[in-house]
Amino acid sequence: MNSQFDSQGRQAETRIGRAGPGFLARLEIAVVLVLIGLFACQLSAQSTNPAAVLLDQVALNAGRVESVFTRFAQERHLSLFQEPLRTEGYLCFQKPGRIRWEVTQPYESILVSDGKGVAQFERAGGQWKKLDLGLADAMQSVVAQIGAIMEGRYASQQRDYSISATNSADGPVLTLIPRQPAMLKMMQAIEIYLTPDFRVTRRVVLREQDGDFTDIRFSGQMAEPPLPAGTFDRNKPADLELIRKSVEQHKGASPENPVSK
Amino acid sequence: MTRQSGQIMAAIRGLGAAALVLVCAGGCVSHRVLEASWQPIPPSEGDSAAFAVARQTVREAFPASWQATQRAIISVGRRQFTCDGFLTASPAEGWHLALISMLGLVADVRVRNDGSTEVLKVTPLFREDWARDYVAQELRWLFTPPPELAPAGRLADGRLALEAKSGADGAKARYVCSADGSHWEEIEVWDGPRRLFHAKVSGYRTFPGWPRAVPSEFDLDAGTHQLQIRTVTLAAASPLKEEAP
Repeated sequence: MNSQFDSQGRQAETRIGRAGPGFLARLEIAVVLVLIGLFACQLSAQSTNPAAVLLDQVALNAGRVESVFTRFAQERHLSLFQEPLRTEGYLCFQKPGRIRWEVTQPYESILVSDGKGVAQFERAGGQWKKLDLGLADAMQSVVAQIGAIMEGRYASQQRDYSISATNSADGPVLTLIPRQPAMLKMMQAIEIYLTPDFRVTRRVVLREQDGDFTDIRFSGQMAEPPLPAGTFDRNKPADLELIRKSVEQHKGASPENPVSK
Repeated sequence: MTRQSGQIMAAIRGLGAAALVLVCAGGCVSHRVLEASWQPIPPSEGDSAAFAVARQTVREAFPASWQATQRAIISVGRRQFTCDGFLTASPAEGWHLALISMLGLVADVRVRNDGSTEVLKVTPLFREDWARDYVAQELRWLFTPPPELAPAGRLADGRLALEAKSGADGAKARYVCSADGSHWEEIEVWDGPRRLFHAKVSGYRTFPGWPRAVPSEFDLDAGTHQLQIRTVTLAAASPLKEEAP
């Protein structure tokens, strides 16, 4: 597997990504690439060329994935603060375009899209409260694009980022650099760390120009888990414990798709 | 324009709206004049002990040096947005807040103990003067109560009102505590005859490493917008990193 990449760190470029400037672009890139990285867990080991072929394979294999469940731990490192801002939770994805990003610590929040619209819930005082979400249309537009990419339709649409692929002892690393100057002012690079067998994305790092960065680490990923009805319900999303229970049962039946707590 | 770029442009326009909301959260939209809600009865000699307790309650509402993660819901009209706050405060460094929205860092501001404000970082969607003039100047009333508080009197319901004046901008704050002075419950900030905002203070709870209960919930109403802030983590603050020369 490692022979796909030059051991001297030779870099090959391809182009993906299309985004507007500013925050949207950053959000879009960040989330899209996190999810691209996640779906690289399905990547086969047949490529013999560097990054361009690798990205093709990511696209090809992403299209085969129906659903994903994973934990995440995110740290926002701000240069002027000694300690990072930490959040953790769970990510669920299911075709077509259904996404649920649930923060469980240090607060509880759910951003969920059923493919048609997006909703957000906040938990306070033991009660979930649905927000009258501002920018819902814009958010759904972004989420829809993410969904399209997760379904393997990104390669033909995306053209604004250069990707280099290098190898390391811990596995391949994809580094994406925006081509647009306006975008580059916001985001220096996005790094996707894969395990040596390409099955799992270990980590995604979003680096800003000023030294701040966001570090997202994934664990307990599972492809094709049975997500219960209501997982992506925009009015009353299923309880996380119900989802976890369903996934844990699947874990017992499919030891090759591990889920860890 | 392709469909995708159209979607992106729509989203960017939406983000412009988000910027407006954040401006509102910072108080940049002109404040509506609100009716005065409190008419304190001048304090009597017998109240001095309770006022002493109230002064101490407000001044020591938070640890001397602390660091907190906060979750905020901003409401403007019928639209709501969420934001994370990362706050540190210390006698040496003053007050330092990073605001982070779903779309990334919004602003990073510091208010030093002498009242001077420094915008350490600001993103394209947030103007520096908004961060300097509104976010910093308003939220500091909540999280760094001023040391000098004078009794303003008792309210009709028996609660105690304390008053503080800002040195530079002339804004005036009233802090309301329970009748015995043991709990800080509300705050009003005024600019001349205009009430800039009113906030209810509640959710007293303890956090690991700090034995005293601190207020963790703030429901702020500025007329044009509402802000619900919850402190979700609190710890003794780490010192700020040395800035590059």
